[in-house]
Amino acid sequence: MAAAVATRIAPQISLACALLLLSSLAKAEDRLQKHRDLRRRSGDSAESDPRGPLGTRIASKVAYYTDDDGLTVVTPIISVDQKIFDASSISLEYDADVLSAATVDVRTSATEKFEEVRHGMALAGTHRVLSWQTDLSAALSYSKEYDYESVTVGAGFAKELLQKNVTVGAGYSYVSNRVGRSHTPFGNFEEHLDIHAVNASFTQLLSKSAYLQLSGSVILARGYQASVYRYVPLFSEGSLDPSQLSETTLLDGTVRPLLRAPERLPRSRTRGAGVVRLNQQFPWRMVLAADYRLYADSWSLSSHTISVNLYQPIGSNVVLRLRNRFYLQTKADFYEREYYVSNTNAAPEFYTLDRELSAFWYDLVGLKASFRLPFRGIFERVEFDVKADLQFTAYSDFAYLSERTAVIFGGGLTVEL
Amino acid sequence: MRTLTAVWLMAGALGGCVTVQPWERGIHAGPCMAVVPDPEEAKLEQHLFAYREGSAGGYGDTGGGCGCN
Repeated sequence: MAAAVATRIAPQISLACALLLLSSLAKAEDRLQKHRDLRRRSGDSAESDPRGPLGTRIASKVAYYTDDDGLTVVTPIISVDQKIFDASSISLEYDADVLSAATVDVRTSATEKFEEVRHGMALAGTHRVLSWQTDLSAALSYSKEYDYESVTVGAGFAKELLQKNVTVGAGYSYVSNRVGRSHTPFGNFEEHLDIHAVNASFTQLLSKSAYLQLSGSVILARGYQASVYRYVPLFSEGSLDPSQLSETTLLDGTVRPLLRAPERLPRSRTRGAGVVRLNQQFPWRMVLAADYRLYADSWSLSSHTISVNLYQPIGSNVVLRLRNRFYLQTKADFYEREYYVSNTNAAPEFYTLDRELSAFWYDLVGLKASFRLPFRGIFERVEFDVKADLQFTAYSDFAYLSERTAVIFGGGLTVEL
Repeated sequence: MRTLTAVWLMAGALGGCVTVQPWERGIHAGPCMAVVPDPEEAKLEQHLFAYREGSAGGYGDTGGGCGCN
């Protein structure tokens, strides 16, 4: 009986759906035309408003990282951003890391190559209070790996001042991290790391074609900051010729530590960073976006980062980006190339095998091309991009790896409606 | 830190010196002039740099949120 009724009304339902779809497309076209007319009347450029008339932006990207130290990471991300009314927007985002590692960390621990996947979800919203010329924002995100869970909540504001020549902003984020161990239930092993981060920024227009931005962060991290998988070789005093220490001699037994102890790091870290950024457009629409970051923390680690991006539009549909990022850091105060102990009960207070706490530098060069595709209809903008980066890292004080070369490929599609 | 504070104060003073009128801001509206021209790429890269650097902060990041260590 039900089947017979369904068969009878199916054509009517199909017709109603088709009419509804046509009506929606017609309304979308109508809104698009009104939107374009409005822009034309106001003399606005097509690039000035990143959203289309429906206020929808959908972006997907994927990055592929691989290096000669045995690490491969594939990172997809997709986000949907929807304008709600005229003053608010909401966005939903999913990202993941698919990681395959046989790095020096893994090899010196004499363990097997491992693979893992991290999933992340984020929900964010912004609301513009027109009478205050202020944007309010809030975000919530969740990230999960089989041995790690993290929840981040944050809120912030950005306020325009002096006829919109100056924008000041500030935000606060709290990150709660739950650290576990592979093949071990959280009930048997569980550590925590709490992070409080405060960010502030000041942006000033310098001319019709340039602006300066200053931004800074203070981050307080309290809790477990070591790796549960990292065991540090501790050598008996006088038993080792430091020049002999390498990945090979450690693995083949030429050098023998007195013991291997689980990494121990301070449970408290206060981190501060300041960034100066300059954006300037030159003739032929070339844009220089350069920034310098100074970083220092309570572990006596400091770093300098210089990033330079050159954008060159070609015609109205292609933009090329050439970039360089140089990074230089000093070691943490407790980091040593090798640790010595007089006996098994005399380990130093802190010890690590983390090469990211040693002194090193890297340089990254890259090229990216973005193509605006000539789609019409309800699409306001469809853009496709591809990129390739090359990164070279030199470790001056890490016994088991002296240099690493990595390549990063990426691509993405962005649609605005 | 003192140097950074001085730079902040100097930039704050600039606020009273320069006025770009609304009709002169066409260039600033271009996508290449945005502070973050490609938010998804920026997020992926901050994640990558969290793996590869001992530093964090300054770009709106928090230095946490994954077992990247």
